[in-house]
Order: sequence, then C-alpha cells, then structure tokens
Amino acid sequence: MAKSRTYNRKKILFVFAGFLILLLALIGRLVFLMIFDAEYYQEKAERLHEREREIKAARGEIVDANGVVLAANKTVCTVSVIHSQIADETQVTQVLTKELELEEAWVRERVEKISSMEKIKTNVDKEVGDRIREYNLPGVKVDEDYKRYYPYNELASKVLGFTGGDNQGIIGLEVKYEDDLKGINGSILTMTDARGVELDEKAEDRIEPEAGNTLQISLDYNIQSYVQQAAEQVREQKQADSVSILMMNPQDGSILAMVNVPEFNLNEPFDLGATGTDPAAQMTEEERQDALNQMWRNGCINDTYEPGSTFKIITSSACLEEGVVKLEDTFSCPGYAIVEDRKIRCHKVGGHGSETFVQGLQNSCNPVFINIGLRLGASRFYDYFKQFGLLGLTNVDLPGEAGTIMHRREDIGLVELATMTFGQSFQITPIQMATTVSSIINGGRRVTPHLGVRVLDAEGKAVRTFDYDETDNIVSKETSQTMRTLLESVVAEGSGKNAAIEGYRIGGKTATSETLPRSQNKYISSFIGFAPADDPQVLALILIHNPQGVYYGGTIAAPVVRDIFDNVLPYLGVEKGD
Amino acid sequence: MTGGQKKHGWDATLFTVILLLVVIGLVILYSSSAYNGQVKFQDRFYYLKKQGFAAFVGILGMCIVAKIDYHFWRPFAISGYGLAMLLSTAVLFVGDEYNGSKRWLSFGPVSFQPSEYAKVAVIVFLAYLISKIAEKKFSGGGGGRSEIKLRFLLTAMVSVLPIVALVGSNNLSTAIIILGIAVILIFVASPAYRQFIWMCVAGAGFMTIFLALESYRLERLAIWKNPEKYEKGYQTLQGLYAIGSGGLFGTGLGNSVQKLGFLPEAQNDMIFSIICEELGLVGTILIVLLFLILIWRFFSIASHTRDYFGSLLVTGVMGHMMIQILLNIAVVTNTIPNTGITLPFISYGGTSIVFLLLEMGLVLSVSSLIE
Repeated sequence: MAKSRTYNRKKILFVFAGFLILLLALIGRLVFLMIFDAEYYQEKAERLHEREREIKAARGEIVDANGVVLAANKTVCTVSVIHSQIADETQVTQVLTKELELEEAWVRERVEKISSMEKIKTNVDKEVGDRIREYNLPGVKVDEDYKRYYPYNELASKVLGFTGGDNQGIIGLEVKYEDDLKGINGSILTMTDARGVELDEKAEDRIEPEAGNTLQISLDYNIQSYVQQAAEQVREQKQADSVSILMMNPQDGSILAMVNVPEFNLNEPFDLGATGTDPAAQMTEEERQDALNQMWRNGCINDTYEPGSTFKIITSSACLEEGVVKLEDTFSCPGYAIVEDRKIRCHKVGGHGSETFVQGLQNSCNPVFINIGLRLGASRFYDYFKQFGLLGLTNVDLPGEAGTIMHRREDIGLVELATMTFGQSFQITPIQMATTVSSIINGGRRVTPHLGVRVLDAEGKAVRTFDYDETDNIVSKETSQTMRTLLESVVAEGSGKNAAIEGYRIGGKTATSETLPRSQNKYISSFIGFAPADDPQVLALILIHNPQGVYYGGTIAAPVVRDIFDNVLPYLGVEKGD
Repeated sequence: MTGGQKKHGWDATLFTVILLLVVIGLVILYSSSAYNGQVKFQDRFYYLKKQGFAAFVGILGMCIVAKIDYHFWRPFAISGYGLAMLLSTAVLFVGDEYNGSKRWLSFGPVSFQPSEYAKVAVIVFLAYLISKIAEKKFSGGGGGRSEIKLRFLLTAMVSVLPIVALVGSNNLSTAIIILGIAVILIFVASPAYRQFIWMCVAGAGFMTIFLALESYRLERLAIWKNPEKYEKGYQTLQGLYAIGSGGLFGTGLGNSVQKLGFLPEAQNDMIFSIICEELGLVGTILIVLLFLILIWRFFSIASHTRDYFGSLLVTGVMGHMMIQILLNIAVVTNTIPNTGITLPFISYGGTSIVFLLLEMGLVLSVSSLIE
C-alpha cells in the first residue's frame, strides 16, 4: 500500500496556505463592504424597504365674523384589504358587504384579487370605519383621513369654494387662502416586505402633520342665510335664471353677504343635480365640465353686466365733482334725446317734462344724464371712470375676478358717451359696481372689497390680520355728502320708493338693464341701496337675471333690499331714527 | 492492508465543528426561509423541516460511514464513478426541472441531485486511481520520474473529463467544482510545481475562449462589474444590500429585511448575505472561522495520514469544501461573477447536506485510523 510522502504534505500545506490567503482576501472584501460601504448599501436598502404613507394635515377651518364654522373637517375612513393577510375571505366579504352597503360580488372580487393592497371604499363615515375595525379582521385595513366638510351645504357655496380629493382648494376662498388653510402633511415611514406588506414589528418613523390655520372672514352666517333665502324667494317668484345679492360695509369694503342663487351643495360639488336638465350620463366629458363650471360661477365677481341706471350714481358724482351741473339746474325731457343722428329714448314714453337735476335722478330720466354727460365731455368722463377705479379690478380676495369691458378713450363718440351716462355700452362686475358706489358714498375713499379678515392659529390667536388698500379722495367729501342726500331722496320720493322703510334713512338707485343681444328681451333688474343714508353702514346690490313678468328694478328688486334691510339693520345694531 | 493502524476515536474537534455547522446552518436556514415558506407554502417551517430531515439522515449516514474503515470503499471506486456517470446521464433525460434547470431525479417522494453525489464519487475515484498509480510506480518501478508524472497527470485528468462534461452540460458550477477537486488532488499527488503554473495559464486561456463563445457569459461579466445597471444584476445587488445592511454587529438573528422577498430565494446560494445582514461582520467572521477550523482539521488529518489513499480522500474533501466556501463567498460579495454555488452546511439543499455529511463521515473514518 502506498504511503503518503513528504512532498505530498508540502503540497497539502501549499493548498491550505493558498486557501487561507484567498479566505483572508474575501474577509477583507467583507470588511470593506460591511464597514466602509455599509452606509451606501444601508441607505439603498432602506429606501427599498420603506414605504412612505402620507398623513394628511387637517385643513384650517373657515369661520364667519362671529366664529361660526362654515368649512370644517370630518374624519372619514378608507377601507382596504391586503390579500396576503386575509384569514377568512368569506367572512371579510360578508362583513364589508354588510357594513359598506356594497354589492357582494363586487366586494368578493376585490377581496379575492391577489394584489398588495386593494381599496374597497373611500370616504367611509368614521362610525362605520370604527365598526369594521371592531371586527378585528386580519387583512382589513381602516385608515383615517380628513375630508372637507361644509356644515351648511349650500351656504355661500360660490364664495367658500370646495376642495378636491387631495384636499386642495378648487374654487373660491379655498383657493385664494390655500397657503393659510392647507397645513403641512405629515408622513409615516413604514418598513415593508417585497410585496409591500407592512412589517408590524419594525419601528415606524412618523412625521406629524401640521394642521392648517383658521381663516376668519367678514361674511356673517346669519346675514348670508337670510339674504340667501330672500334671493331664493325672489328667484322663485319671478322665475328668474339667477339672483345675485352682494352686501358690504361701504366704510371698509368688508363683505357681509355674497349670494348667487342657485347655489350648489359644497359637499357634493360634482353633482349637477337639477342644474343639468340633461341627464348627466348623456353629457360628454366636456359638456359636463362646462356645466360644472357654470354651476360654480360666482356671478358677483366672475360675470360682467351693463349696470344700467344704477350707474347714474357715478355719472352724477362725476358731473357734480366737475361742477358741470348744479342740483337746481332744470332740464326738459320730451321722452327722448337726439344725439348726433340718434334718437335715444327715455323710459317714460311721454317724457318727464320740466324737471330739476334732483328730480331727474329721482325719475331716472335718461335725457337729463345724456345732457350732463355731454357737458362733461368724453375725455373727462373717461378720466372720472378711471379715477373712480372702474377701469381696474377691485382686487377682491376671490379668484377669477372679471375685468371691466370698456371703450377705448379715443373711441368714445357722443353716442357712446350718451349711452354710458345711463350705464349702457360697457360692462362691469357687480362687485365693481358695489365697490365704486361704496366709495362714492363713504366720503370718497376707494375701498378694497374683501372677505378675509384674519388668520387664526389652533388656539384662536390671530397669526395675521389682513390690511386692505384704500385710495382717498376719489370724490370730494362734499360730493359724497350730496350723493348720499340725492340717493336718499330717490328712495324717499323717487323710483326707489319700494325700498323705503319707516324709520330708516335709506339711499339707493334702481336699474333695469336689457341684456345683450337686445332682441332676446331679457332683462337684469337691479337695485343698489345703502343705510343709514347719513352714515352708511351697509350697502346692498341685488341683480335679478331674466325675471319673468314685471322686470322693473324699482318694482321687483327694491322690495327685496327693503326686506333684507328691515331684518339686517336691527341685527347690525343700526337703530331706527325718528 | 490495514496493518500498523489501530483504531482510536474520531477527530473530536472536527466532529464538534461539523455538528456546530449543521445546527447553526439549520438556524440560519430557518431564519432566511421562514418568510418564503410562509408565502409559498403557508408554512414557516417548510424548508426547515425538509432540511432538518436531510441533516438527520446525513448525520446518521456520517456516523455509519465514520465507523466503517474507509478502505471498504476502495473496491467500489470505479463502479461508484460509473454510477455517477449513469445518474448524470439519466438526469439529462428524465430529470425534474426546477428554476429552469434539470438537476433532480425523483425516486418516489425523494428527489435527488446526482451532481452532489458525483462530487463524492469523483473524490473516491481519484483517490483510488492516484493511489493505485502510485502503488504501481513503487512496486514496478520503471521509467524516469518525469514519465510517470506525465502519464499520471494525463490519466487522472482525462478520466474525470467525461463526468465534468456530463455535469457541466446543465450545471456549470458543479462541473467547475469537480474540475477543481481533480486539479487539487493531482497537484497534491504530483511533486512538480512548474507544470501547474502552465496548467493555470492554460486554464485561464480556456476560460477566456469559453466565455467569449457565448455572449450571455460575457453579459455575466458586465453584470458583475456593474450590477446596478442590469436587471439580471438584481440578485447580486440585493445580496450587497443585505451585506451592507449588516454593519459591524448586524440587525440581529431573524431581523433581516432583505430575506422578505427582496433577495429572491434567500435560503439558497445567497444565504451568506443574510448571515451578514443578521449577524454583522463579527458574527460572519465567527462563522467563517468555523469553516476555517474545519479546513484546518482536514489539512491536519490529510497531512498526518500515512496511508496515501486516506490522505488523498481527505485532500479531496478539503478541496471540495475550500472551493465551495471560497466561490460562494466570492459570488455573494460580488468579487467574481455570479454562478450558483451553495454554502456548505448552510444553504438549502437536501442532497447536498446528505452527501457533505457522508464526506465528513469518510474524513472522520480516516481520522480514526491515523497511526
């Protein structure tokens, strides 16, 4: 039998030594990987293992002037199933079908689907979510989430606006004050396995969300609801397309109510409901979106109209300020005025006959205004138009304010000038109208209409109080004083008498504008009123779009404002005089 | 034949290290396979049960083999080698496919990987063949030293090529191991050094041509250099993530995240990376140390056995273990391109652990007969 020899042992030693060297080299490689490269690979691995789940921050509330919550948050749940963790498919299907009131087949399909996580239902009420949680079913996940909630459904819908699925503002104040309201989302970092299933035993990194701040607005819930009711009432009575009512404090521009009926339900902003006469299913996506945009439009801000006779306030102010007319000046109205080759009619076919300027305003007599407008001249008229702020935007704190549609200065001929004096041939927004009149009657300070008052933190402490620009002396105090007196006389003795309330000094002006195209015979009846006439605290503008039957502003619009003032003035603490 | 040798106990250190490795192997296997077992078979213990059973059978076999004088196997060396050839041929035709490779033969409920058996068969066969040649040389004399060497090298090398080709046709890694075992045995048996340098050069040249022939092999090289850029580098990369995540002390036994589906089949070839992740550098080095002790015992037994056949047997087993340990760690650390080589005693594989333990039985048997 062969014996192992010395060289064999040397060779074995050689092999062993070779192994040892290679093994040491590999250990060196390990040290390199596990000590020096560790951070690099750890980071990569962690990124691979971690799933970030966002925790939505609670959106700040919107509260009215008295702290009534107009936009709040509701805790809702999202119910999902994780297939791999489900123990009993039949039970899960049964429970979810029952609790979520869904089709059993539909639920079963999702429960049996092999996926990392399957959403069953979102926006589930917290109570239902809690009930499902109590079943303690493995594989069923109930995640809590915030959803915007509007306690008063339709109240001020076009002002407040609503938020989308990601809690981001879509229209209205929700968009304008997005940065204040939105808060900062938090996140949960969880470790998962390769299928995305969370590992229970691994620590979660949690970054807490920061709730958004509360926005306090000047809108008053009580006034807004009352005004909304009044608007709905008149819309129904007059079978009108829509009614817009704007109420503001003419002294500082703060908006007390802004109603555009029909309003829509903020909790169901995508439900066209009765607005869409066509069944929604038959609409194309584009038509549907158009219908929604139409439904969401804030008529006070997004739409322009010819102000009609209410604009005579502005013409009067300009002419008085310029001194081209005095209150005692007398005019003669034959029922029309001839400007160049045009015969422009007064609304009173037979004419008002001989009248003073004051009477001309009370009668809303077009020839009087054509006359004084021509005295002022196109260029000066344009200057005042600009001086009053009518060319620009009001800068109200709502998105999508429409601009003024106006002739260019060089294009204003006598006919254009004549029609402009009584509020035709150009268009402005209702908010622009209300703001300009506010500025004329408040002593001549152009105010910025606004809703936002202050931003409050969670403890109710003011984080930020908004300041708004004012421009002084757009008219003199004297002219302002004169206008207040004149407009009070319009209500006391003239075309605005339907707005008069025993014991209150109310100023105002009516208007009936025919919408374009004129051939359709559609009208906007409007009235702008303020009280008390000597020291205006509240100004209201009402627009009734396309009323059926009688369409005169003095007949149908003025009584609405009277009714509102009758209720709102005592509420605001404005006392009746003698 | 056995005159002058007297029985004494097994090499106690070796025996202890083997048992330690088997137990530690099972613990690590359970840790890395529980998730996969749960996902695939709804049984966390699925892989542990199968491996545990195989380990039990293996230890039983090891003890029996260790009790038997290893010379008992000499007469079976040639027929055993023939059987390996037969089984390796059979697997090509009637083998079961798993993960795209035909490597298993089924006998009823038991499936069996012929290539694992082939390694043992080759070790016994070469030990027999070389010792036989050596005997002839000593008994018959004749010819100069160089003549013997040449014949010696050629016969031994040529005799294993058929099995290398057979196994290599569907399992390149095992073929490389078998070839490696043959080279080590011949190297140890031959007094020469220089020829082996030439052999290494020739081998390297052969490998280059071999790799260049098939573009997918070159692709492996590209993946090796830059695993992050290739989809197929996924496994390698996941292994590196696991290793890197381990740091100095690891995440703790059972706490690997990479085994949760990120590293595919964590219980197989890449199990070493899970060891790194869970036990850290310190734990990993301790396990490598166990392997080192194992190899050291082989070295010691091989050097102290006067009997040439016995010494060659142990050297073969030692070569086998060395190659698998080195290649496995090198692959997992992306030191060399990826090729499927399991980590002895720890990676999942029933056939592998049974035959590894039988090999250990042979070594223990040799150790008990050292003079």
